[in-house]
Amino acid sequence: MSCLSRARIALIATTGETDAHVTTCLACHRALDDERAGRDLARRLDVPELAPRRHAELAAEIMGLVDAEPPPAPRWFAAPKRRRAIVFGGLLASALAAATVALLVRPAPPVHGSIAIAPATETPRGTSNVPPLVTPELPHEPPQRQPSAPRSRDVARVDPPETNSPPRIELPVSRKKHARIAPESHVVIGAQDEDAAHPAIERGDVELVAPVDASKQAFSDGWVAMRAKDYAAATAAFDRVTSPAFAEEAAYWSIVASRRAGSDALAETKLRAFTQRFPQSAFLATGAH
Amino acid sequence: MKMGVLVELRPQGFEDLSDEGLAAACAIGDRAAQGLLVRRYLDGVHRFVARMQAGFPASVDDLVQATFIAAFRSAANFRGPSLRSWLFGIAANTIRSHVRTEVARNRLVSSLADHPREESVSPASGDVPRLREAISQLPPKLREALVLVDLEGEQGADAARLLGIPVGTLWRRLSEARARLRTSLGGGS
Repeated sequence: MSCLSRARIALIATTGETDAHVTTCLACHRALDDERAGRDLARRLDVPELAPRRHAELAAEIMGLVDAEPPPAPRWFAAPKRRRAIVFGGLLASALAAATVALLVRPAPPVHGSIAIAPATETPRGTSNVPPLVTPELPHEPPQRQPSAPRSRDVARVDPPETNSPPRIELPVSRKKHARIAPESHVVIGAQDEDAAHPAIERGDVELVAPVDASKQAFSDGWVAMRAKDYAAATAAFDRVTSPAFAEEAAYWSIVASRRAGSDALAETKLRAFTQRFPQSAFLATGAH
Repeated sequence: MKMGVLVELRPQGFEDLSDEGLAAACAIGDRAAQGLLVRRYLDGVHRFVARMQAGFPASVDDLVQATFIAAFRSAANFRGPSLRSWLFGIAANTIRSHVRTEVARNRLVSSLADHPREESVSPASGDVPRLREAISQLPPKLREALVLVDLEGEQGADAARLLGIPVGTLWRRLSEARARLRTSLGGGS
């Protein structure tokens, strides 16, 4: 039987356990005696007593230090794991916020003036084969506009038109705040600044991915009929348009279709109504057609 | 968990709070509980620190204070079973930090002055001063084991847990400490 380890002998000397090997092994017996001698030697050390007066003083000093301590951190923040999680989460949130801000403030390529919007003299997308229209006579003087250089607050910005995503048009509508114009359909008729002095967005069409609604369908049907030279059907189709997004365009092209259909009286009536409803219309301003 | 215990026990008698309840009350900054903890364990902690710092009595009070302050800060981490043993563990850590600081400071002072500092108590006549000196000369790890087990009577498993070492390591350190003590005092008794 092998001799006991020093750790085992120290344990026996401390706890008083018995081990049969110690009684038969002289070396282990001697080692155990040495352990007991060392234990007894250490226990001779005097017990440092704290005098009652010093006890009270020391306790008072400790409580004084406690009172001088800053208040403990909230328990929900005190646990190390939770504190680490909170700190890590805060750093992550800050990084995400910084990334978001960086993305939002990334300058988009500005499109000034005729932003992907067809001028009034052009036909909507895909209608280049439409025969020349006979423009009605405009009975009044076009309103005088002061051409102005684009100002930062007047510039409408549109997402790159080559992308397939719907463009977002941002337009200042007041001196203090900006509004985002999200056309419901594929045509933007126009928008003016707060003073109505000049248009901030030229009318025309903007390709959008938007749900087909009745007005859009009617406007599209009108142009199908125009290309088919079915001007009566085109007039009827344009007259079905009710959406404000198409109203001005539809009303104008309804006049043109009526004129081409030979209904001059009807066209004249519609023109009067148009000038009253859209006095600032660029169709009137240009006097084209 | 601890708050519930505190609410239940406190109306019945604050002085009768269990170790766990007392630690919970201290964790939320209850000054009365902190005072009770000091009153209840000041003697034991002071004795332990005084034995650990046998050769440097001037630092005992400061270390005792630091032990209780550290205990109040970490009272929420008390997991039982014995508040006394837990306080001894905190005291041992406090002493280790103190010793490291002192060693670094003494090295700096020694490098700046021709005369070494004499902070330790010089050996005096009689067994007890020699014994105190011999214990103070033990390496801290051995001294911790000796004081905790042989002088404070802690169970081996408890002492090992509060020192953060395996039980076998504790017994080996204890054996080594006893052997060095015998050697320092000329062969023992």
